[in-house]
Amino acid sequence: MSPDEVAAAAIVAALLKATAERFARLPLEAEPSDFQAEQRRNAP
Amino acid sequence: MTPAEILALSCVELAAAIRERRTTAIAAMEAVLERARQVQPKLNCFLRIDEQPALDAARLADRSPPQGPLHGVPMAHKDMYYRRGVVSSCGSKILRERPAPATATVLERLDAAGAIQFGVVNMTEFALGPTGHNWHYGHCRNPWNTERIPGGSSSGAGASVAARANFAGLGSDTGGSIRLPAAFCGTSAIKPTFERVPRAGAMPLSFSLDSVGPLTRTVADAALIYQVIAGLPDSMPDLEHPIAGLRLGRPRQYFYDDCDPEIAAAMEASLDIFRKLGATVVDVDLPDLSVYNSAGGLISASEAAAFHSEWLRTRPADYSDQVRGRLLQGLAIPATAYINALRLRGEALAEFCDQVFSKVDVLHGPVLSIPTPTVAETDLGWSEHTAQILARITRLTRPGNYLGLPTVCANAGFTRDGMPIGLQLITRPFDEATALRGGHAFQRITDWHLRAPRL
Repeated sequence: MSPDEVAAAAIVAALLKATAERFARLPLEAEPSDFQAEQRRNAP
Repeated sequence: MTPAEILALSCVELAAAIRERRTTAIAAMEAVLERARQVQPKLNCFLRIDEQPALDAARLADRSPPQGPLHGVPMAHKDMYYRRGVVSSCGSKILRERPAPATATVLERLDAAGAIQFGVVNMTEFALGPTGHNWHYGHCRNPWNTERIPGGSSSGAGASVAARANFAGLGSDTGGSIRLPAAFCGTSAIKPTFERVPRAGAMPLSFSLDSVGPLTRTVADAALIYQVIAGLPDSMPDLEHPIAGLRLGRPRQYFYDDCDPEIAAAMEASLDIFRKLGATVVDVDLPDLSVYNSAGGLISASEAAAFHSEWLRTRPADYSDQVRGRLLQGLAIPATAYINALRLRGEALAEFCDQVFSKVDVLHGPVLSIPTPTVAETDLGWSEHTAQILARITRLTRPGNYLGLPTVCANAGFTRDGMPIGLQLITRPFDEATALRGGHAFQRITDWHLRAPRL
């Protein structure tokens, strides 16, 4: 692996570790469009 | 009016002066072009100045009835807003000769409001980086100290507006690229709610996170330009409405972790100003923003790598080392992680709003928790160490992109060594009006935004 690829692997590993627990707790039904629905729900 | 008097005006003030014939569009254009020529060797904040077309447009504006609320106001924008047939380099070597296929919606709206674009300003290559370095066109410099970074990726917009060589400039914000240069350079700014302002005709970096907004001298200018580019009805957000009773949240977690003491002190002083204006300050607990920060990083890196995958394969040497390294990181992200980061976003926004905006109207905090780095110490290739330094810079802004929340920035003072300190006011989705009202009220009784660097 090139130095860039080694750095990329380390950085991505850190991002995956930081999010793993929350991703594991996501409900089955969660989907990206929930974000737009929450935007509308929380608008003033 | 003298050129110096013109250059001291905000967009709102200049537009009024032109409308009331206290000055002219051509006088404003000549003044700003002269100032741009003067500061460019020190700041490298412009990538192109279109002098003759700008002068012609200003003369035409003086012969025409007022066209809109920005009639005759000169502006130069980040070089990633397309104008049909004109090259937008996007700060890159790869696009330095490609004419743009169409004109950006935001430029069409600014044109219709009477603004006159006189050039394009420096930016980080493909908007990928928070420092303002550009290894193809030269690094942009901070007007308050040219050894320091201006912040990025909208580096030239921040530096030129702060240096009074531009009345306002559009930036873009995927992880902090409007708010960071605003804070580093001491300007005002707004990052609108995600998708509130059209991105059509703007270079994409991450279609799930990119926001378009202006860097300006004052919050009132940010409000006016936001109104124009968002296509809102003629009425301005009611900036003059008193903020007595407004509830400001002071975050208990995250924002002040390892915060530079001078920055923390400036934030406390700014909260005192808000109290004087009748606002109340409430300590609030936040969800774990480090998760949002990382999830935003997964989305940004994945989408940027997708946009750039063909050039990464065919023209890798045409990227600077740091930008190529950042893009390669996106190729290493599993699709499941990218999708889960998007799936979590709704839950995260609900959690944040329930926890914060059930108690306060505005979340107040610093844009940065570190002093302004030097250009030299952040002139880095790509490594894990570089990633850690850059992550420190975007730590307080990237969660706002993940949540898509509107944010207004204002200068809240200076460090002992003369560098600006930026505050951010974060509100509910689509509640730009409250953030703008708060920022404008703050600037009505402070003068940090009126100070200009000596160059």
